[in-house]
Amino acid sequence: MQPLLSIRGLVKRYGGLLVTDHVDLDIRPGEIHAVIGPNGAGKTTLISQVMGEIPSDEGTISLGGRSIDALGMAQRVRAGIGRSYQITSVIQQFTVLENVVLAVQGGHAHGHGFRFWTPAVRTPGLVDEADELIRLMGLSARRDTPAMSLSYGQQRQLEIAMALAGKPQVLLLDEPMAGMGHGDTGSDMMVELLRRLKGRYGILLIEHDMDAVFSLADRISVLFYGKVICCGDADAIRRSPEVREAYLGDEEVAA
Amino acid sequence: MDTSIAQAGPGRRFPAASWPVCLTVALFLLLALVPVYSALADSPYVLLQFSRILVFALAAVGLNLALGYGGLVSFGHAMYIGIGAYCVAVASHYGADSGVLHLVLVLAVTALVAAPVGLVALRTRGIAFIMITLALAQMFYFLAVGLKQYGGDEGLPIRQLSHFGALTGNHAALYLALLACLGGSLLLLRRVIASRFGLILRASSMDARRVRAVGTTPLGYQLLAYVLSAELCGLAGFFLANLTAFASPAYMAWTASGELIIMVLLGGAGTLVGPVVGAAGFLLLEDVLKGLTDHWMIVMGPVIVLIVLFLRNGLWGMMSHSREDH
Amino acid sequence: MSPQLLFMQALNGLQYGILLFLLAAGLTLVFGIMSFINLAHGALYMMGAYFAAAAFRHTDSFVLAILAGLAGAMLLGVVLDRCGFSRLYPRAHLDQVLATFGLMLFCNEAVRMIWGSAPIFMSLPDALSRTVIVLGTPYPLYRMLIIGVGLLVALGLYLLIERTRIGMLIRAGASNRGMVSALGVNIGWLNTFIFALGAGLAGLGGAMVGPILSVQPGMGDSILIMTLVVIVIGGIGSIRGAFLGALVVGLVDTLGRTVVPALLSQSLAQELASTLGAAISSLAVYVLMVIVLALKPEGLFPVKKR
Repeated sequence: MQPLLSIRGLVKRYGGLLVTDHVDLDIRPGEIHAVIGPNGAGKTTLISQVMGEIPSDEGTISLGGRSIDALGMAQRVRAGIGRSYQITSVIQQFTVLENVVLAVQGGHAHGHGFRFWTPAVRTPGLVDEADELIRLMGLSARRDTPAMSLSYGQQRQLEIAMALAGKPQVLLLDEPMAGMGHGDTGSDMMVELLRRLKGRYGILLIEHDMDAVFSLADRISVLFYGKVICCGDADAIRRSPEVREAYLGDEEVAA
Repeated sequence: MDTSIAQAGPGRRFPAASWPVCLTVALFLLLALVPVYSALADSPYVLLQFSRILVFALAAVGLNLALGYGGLVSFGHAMYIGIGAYCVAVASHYGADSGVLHLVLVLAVTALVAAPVGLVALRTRGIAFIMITLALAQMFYFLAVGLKQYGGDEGLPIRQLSHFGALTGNHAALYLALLACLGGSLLLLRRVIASRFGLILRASSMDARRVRAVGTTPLGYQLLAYVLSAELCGLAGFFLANLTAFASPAYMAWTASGELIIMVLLGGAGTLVGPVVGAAGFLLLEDVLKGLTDHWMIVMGPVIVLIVLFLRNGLWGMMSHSREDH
Repeated sequence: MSPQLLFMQALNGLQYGILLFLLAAGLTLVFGIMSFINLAHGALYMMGAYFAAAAFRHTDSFVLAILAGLAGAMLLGVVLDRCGFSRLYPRAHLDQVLATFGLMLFCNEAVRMIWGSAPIFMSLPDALSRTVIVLGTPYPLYRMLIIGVGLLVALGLYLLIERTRIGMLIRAGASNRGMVSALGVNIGWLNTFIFALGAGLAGLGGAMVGPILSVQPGMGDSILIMTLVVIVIGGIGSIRGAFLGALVVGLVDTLGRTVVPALLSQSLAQELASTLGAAISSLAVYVLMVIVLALKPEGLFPVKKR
């Protein structure tokens, strides 16, 4: 089975510091591939390189078998990659609807944005899709609320909605549960959401919440100082001595 | 941003009786009465004064598209006013005085200049963008000053105004045409801002990275907004030339660009009607001060500083409780 | 155009470049450290010239006049920083541009009210009015002096920034302002120092240039724009960029104005040559800026920010 996203030999240096160290990683259709590692291990840098936000020094990235190295970020998104940010980056002054419509119209199915007459939030082709996504995220009641008035958790949901709006094949989720407590409005809800998305997309999930990682992930790669030191399913990771050593010695990883 | 205009979903009709709309309509009605008042009170000066206000209101509305909605801080937009004026002046200089020709020339030349200028400037962001637009405007200013056969720094008098049949040179007709253009631009802009193009433009001004992350490249949209805003300023220049029968490098001085930004800010950047109010307020204040003292700039300078420090949302913006766009 | 004339124009270009450097250094430092763009910088240059001219009229001492220009501008800088500019440092650049624009208009008018609109002339003492021979070409001593002073200032700035503690703070602040403040450095006084330094340099430039240009209201406006072009070309926040950018701009502008029309009139008809000449010479610097930006949007020597 050909991987959806394939990363080979990816390198990023900042001066003398090797932040991404010859990373090999791939994402199979329908899987959730989690990337874990201590803080500062280079996880967000990795995602930014895949997105094209940060230029890579070496290595190659392929989407559906075709190299995307020459493409800029917007083009990569159009080619089928969606990303959510660790630090919420929805547009605060826009409503939920406006944010999602913005994301929907960027997808390759909707052509160029040089339309001047019809109000964006009343364009049937765009609004129908947007409303569907908003419903999927459970934000329908907040459809016309400015993003700045949403709760933190709702903003995180909006962030995911925007990543999905472009109808990507691959999702790069950067700590979607960051800053959320447990419970219906917190990480439990996000885990439920991710479970529903599994199978429909190839997902690269960066997370610190180990409960979520072990319950969702099909495969886990451990990133330690920019290097993948282990890759396998949950059991393999739990049993790996390198991983144990990397995570401060003998701290028991939750079963 | 005046969200009541941009925000409307299915089943939510735009409240036609909302008060910003009422106020705007009232404003335009009042403005339309100026020629009547001027004729009755036998005061041609009033008509001229308000014509000038409308010229800069049109230019400010244009600048607002780039600056208020697009977040593009152009410190050189007065150059397009100058270009518009010089198109009229130079064409007249060579004997071509057809009004339609002048108009077409103005729109074409402005676009031809704005597109490459915008392309170069948009390679930079932030303070570099401000300074580049400033420097490029200066370039055109010096070009105008240096071309002695078109008047140099003394400017070029226009012997034949834009010919529009019997209405040529008729100040009341000029005024009403200006008012119509201003009203038309506002109506058009209202649609453009709410459209898909406008959504992308506004989003790009707030978070360009986010726009790229949804698969859209901001550059094309920002460039088009820049060119459109330049066109409105060029049109304002066309009217200014016909109003004063004169084209001068002073129209494009960088200080003129600065004052144009102040007008937008005073009225409220990112509101539709704000620039009109701002232009009127600024120019009327200037007239009052000029009447009081020769050294009116001594007051104007600090007034500008105060506006920047305290009136950040602008007069219209304050009234309609607009949110800050920057 | 004779080689001698060409060389003289090159020296003029160098001198103009040095003057631009004095202004650009202050402007770029202030922007690099405090992220503050100051359009009233040209007004500080103008005040330096006026202070010097006024001091010269009262004391007849050239040295005192130059010192008065330098010190007066510096003092003005301290006052501006302490009494209000600090409010503007955290604001958006547009706000800073507009507020300092308003201040500049105020200064121009104030000067007009105090000293009148007519240009003031500052005469050179006889000792400095001589010409010297530079590489076989006679050249005004005073202009060589300006070049000399400028190079000394450049050297002094280099030593200050690379070799002293304050310089280290400046360099640190240029790449990571927040960190410097978090390390406990009194950022307030550092800001005042930097601002005063920049103001002093501008005032020095204005004072020195008094005898060769006329001192009049608004004299700072056109050189301010040129300074902005220098900074954009050199790289915002970079002293090295300001130095090299200033020299390049000075040379290109001066040679553009003098050499190009001469060259053109040799090959083209008189009217066409003078029109084209006037156009090209005033545009040369801006075309240069556009080319530099097309190739390197961050300028020639950008400061790397973390």
